[in-house]
Amino acid sequence: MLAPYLLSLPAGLWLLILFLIPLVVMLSLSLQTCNFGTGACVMTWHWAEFGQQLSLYHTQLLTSVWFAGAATVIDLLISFPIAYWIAFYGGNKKNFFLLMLLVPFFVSFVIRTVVWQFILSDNGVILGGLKHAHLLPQNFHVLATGYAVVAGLAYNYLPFTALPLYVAIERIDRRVLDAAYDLYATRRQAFARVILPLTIPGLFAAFLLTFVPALGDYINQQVLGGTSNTMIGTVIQNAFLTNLDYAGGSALSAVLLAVALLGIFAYARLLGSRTIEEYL
Amino acid sequence: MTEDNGKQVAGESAWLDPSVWRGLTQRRMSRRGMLTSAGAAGMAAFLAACGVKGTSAQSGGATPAGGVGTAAWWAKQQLHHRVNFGNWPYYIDVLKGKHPSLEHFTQQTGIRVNYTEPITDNLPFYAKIRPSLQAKQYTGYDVIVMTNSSPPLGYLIDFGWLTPLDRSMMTNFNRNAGPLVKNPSWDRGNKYTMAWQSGWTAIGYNSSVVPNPGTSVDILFDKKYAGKIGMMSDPQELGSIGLLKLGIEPATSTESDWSKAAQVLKQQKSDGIVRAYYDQSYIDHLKNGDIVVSQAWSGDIFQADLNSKYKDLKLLIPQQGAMNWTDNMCIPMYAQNPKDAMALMDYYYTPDAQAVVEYYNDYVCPVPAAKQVLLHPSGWAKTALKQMAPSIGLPTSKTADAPTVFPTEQYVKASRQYYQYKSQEELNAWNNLFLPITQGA
Amino acid sequence: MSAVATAPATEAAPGPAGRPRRPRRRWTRFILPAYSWLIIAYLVFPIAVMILYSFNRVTTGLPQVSFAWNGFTTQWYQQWSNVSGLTSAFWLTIRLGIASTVLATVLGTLLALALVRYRPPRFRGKTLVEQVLFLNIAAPEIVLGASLLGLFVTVTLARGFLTLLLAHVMFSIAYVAITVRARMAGFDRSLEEAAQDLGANAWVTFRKITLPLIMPGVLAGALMAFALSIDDFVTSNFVSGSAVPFPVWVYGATRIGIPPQVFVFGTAIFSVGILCAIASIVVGRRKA
Repeated sequence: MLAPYLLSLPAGLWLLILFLIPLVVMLSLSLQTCNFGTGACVMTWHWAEFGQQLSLYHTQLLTSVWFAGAATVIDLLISFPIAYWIAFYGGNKKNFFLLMLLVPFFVSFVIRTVVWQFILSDNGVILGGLKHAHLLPQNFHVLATGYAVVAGLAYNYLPFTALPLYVAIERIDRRVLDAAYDLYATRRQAFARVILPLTIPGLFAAFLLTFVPALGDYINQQVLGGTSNTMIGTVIQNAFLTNLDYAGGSALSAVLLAVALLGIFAYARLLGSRTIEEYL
Repeated sequence: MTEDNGKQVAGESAWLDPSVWRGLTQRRMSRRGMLTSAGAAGMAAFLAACGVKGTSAQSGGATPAGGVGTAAWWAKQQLHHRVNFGNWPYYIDVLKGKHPSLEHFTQQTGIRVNYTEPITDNLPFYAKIRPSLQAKQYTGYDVIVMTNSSPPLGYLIDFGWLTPLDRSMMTNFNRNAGPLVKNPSWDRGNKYTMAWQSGWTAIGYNSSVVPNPGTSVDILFDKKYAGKIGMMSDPQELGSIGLLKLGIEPATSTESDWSKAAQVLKQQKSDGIVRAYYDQSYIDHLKNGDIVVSQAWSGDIFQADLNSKYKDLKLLIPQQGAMNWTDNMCIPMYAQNPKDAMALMDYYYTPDAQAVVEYYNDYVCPVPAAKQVLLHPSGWAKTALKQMAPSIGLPTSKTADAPTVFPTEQYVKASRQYYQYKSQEELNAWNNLFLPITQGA
Repeated sequence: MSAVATAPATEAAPGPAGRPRRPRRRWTRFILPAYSWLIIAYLVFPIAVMILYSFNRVTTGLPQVSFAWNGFTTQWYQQWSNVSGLTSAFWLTIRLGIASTVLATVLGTLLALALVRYRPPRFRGKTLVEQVLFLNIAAPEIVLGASLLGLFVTVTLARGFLTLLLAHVMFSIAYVAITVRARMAGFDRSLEEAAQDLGANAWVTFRKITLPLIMPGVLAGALMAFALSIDDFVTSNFVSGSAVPFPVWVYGATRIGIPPQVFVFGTAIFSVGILCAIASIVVGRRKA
């Protein structure tokens, strides 16, 4: 029977041509030498490109891992209680609260970030008022700092963290929890031994959907950041779109992909899983 | 811009004659030189491979295949009554979402203009159209606007990716073009380009926070305003201001000068003086007070200064000089409507059209006669200027008197030219020095 | 992770006396709700700012948003289509969203059907397909965009609507497939078998039985694809060329100062999205 193959053929071909082959092209480009003017590239097996790019931009890569990690942890901390509360105590208002969590989704990502820039501006809605009241020194600023970037990332990806967590917590069978209490579990024990293990798939999906996009994000950094917190996404974007350095940009992209996968596997290990696919 | 700032530039002589403009611009290396110089082996090889006869071209640029751009070729072209014009954002007159100067053009000629604003930076835009040019396909644009200070204009000329202009359709240009834009060094004889607007990269500051900016680029390095100073992320702009700070003429600088300049700029950054390296967005941050001193483009500051809310924003032309650049209209190869494009480009060399554009733009006008139109408008320009007045909020005479639109001798004298890279290696060397500063951690 | 564990568990430990059957207490009654509302306020705040400032008068020469409150006006709503670049970018995004949603939903649903119904002996590449889907989601978007650009540059495919469509379908398929598959997990095959026993052919069975049953999942997947498409910036920025979608236009405009119409479009998209969501909740409740 060809059925499963026929069913997966169109999507499979699409992903092969527009996802897998480009990845291969990217890897190959990173070993080529390109002319910035013509864009013509010649394969030179220039492995040194990786070392060169990493020596130039390893700080930016570390900044990205650090910011994305911070934003993910913040989002997990913020959204676990709210997901828990909606799932267990939302009652008939569950949908309303979920909608509220989703609200940022209904405004374009770029606009959200721009509005935050607008809000956090030195003389903007918040800081301007506080400065006017002499609660803050005149030269105080949030924009152009790493805090602003992490805050922006955390805001933008919060729904991506909260929703998978909610879905996972919602699925928990209340009877299991009742059983735990029947067996004289304390609330703390019930949480640590029953709720948390059962939400591991949610914790995993939340990480995947928050850490990975935050890692490659450059909008937040470009709109909210300053000179000392450039993320690798900015460097890659500039390499491709501003400097036309396809080889360097490809090398950095390959490194970024490797870092993302490493992060995911490390996290999966932390959650105690054997394979990744079981969460999909 | 006010007179005060103008005076900060030491100027003694009367209006300098056109030869000064030419002298200023001639110091630049021609792009031909860049290509054929010793270091450009790789690029030359590529050109050879493409069958582009680099060295035999008479006046710069490769001769495109198929006689494109010759008088005979032009004679065969016909008007299609449509033209695709790709420009930079906020770079043309606007009235209630329409563009009066374009509408008048359509009325006059019956040529419909599809006006878009896809260009926010030279290189990214070049990267977008390059694949089409390589595939010998229409880029989607009949007219584009490229800056002389950035590499892509040179690439387009050198690789034969611009259509040589139709000499017979440049009547207004020949009659009205100012000395600044006629026969410029980057395109001798205006073989491929006609200027759209010019401007300076100088220093913008907020006079309510910075009452005494002095007369030097040193204000950008002043620790007093640490964290409130903006620099530009464009490596050409950033490197040039570093050179000016050291008192080095950018156009004649050497690679060792560049590393010194990079050193100064790195220091400036590590001292926490720079808040961020901005692209065009610096103006927004200057307006809302996030930064108080910044590298700035002259027209932006002039536009902002006109508004009562931002009247504290001033332009400083430092004693070390200000970088002078020109944005140029040109026709990419394989354009579908070249004749319509010529008509459009030449139309913008009528004083009326430029006056209407300048009333909105406030950059350096390529047509000096537009000043008289702004002072004494008549015909359609009068109607258009009148309709635009409420949203612009100032009399047209103010634009006519602006030294950033119709330059005074001080401004001419202060103009500095960008370094013209003689090879790809030089460009790489420049970028490798200044790019890591803007995107460093 | 250990940090997460402490979050809701830090409340006063309950006395072991009696049988604490999830007793109602301060924690769940006051603290969690207050906290949740606080987070919701935080999420809604920037959107409120956006909506508010879409009604702000502009006193500068150029119509651009500024945070000084200059007075109320509906001017920007009346002149919503005045910024021609913005308007055409918006319609491009809508067209692109619809086209990529249709394609990605069809392809993703077919793939999900294959993944739910067949296992290795009959479907040998199943694990491989799952791994590709995972890799697709796990790859940072900038890597997707950059590698696609590399491909388009290599094959000299001019960038425009076509490249945008190819890219948007590419990053939506995995999300659609996973969403649809999740909804189909408890799918009852006996209905299909019954239909076939009654003489229905494969197509009729699919149209009359399978499709209605999986429809909620397909719709959810389609919504996901549409949301991903209209909001996408990173990939689009790499592959857009001369066709500029809404988010890319807005980002470009931030360099100069954004016109107030951006907030008008933002408010409009937000309102439509919220109305649809509310409608779906209401409909869902009625059915339940």
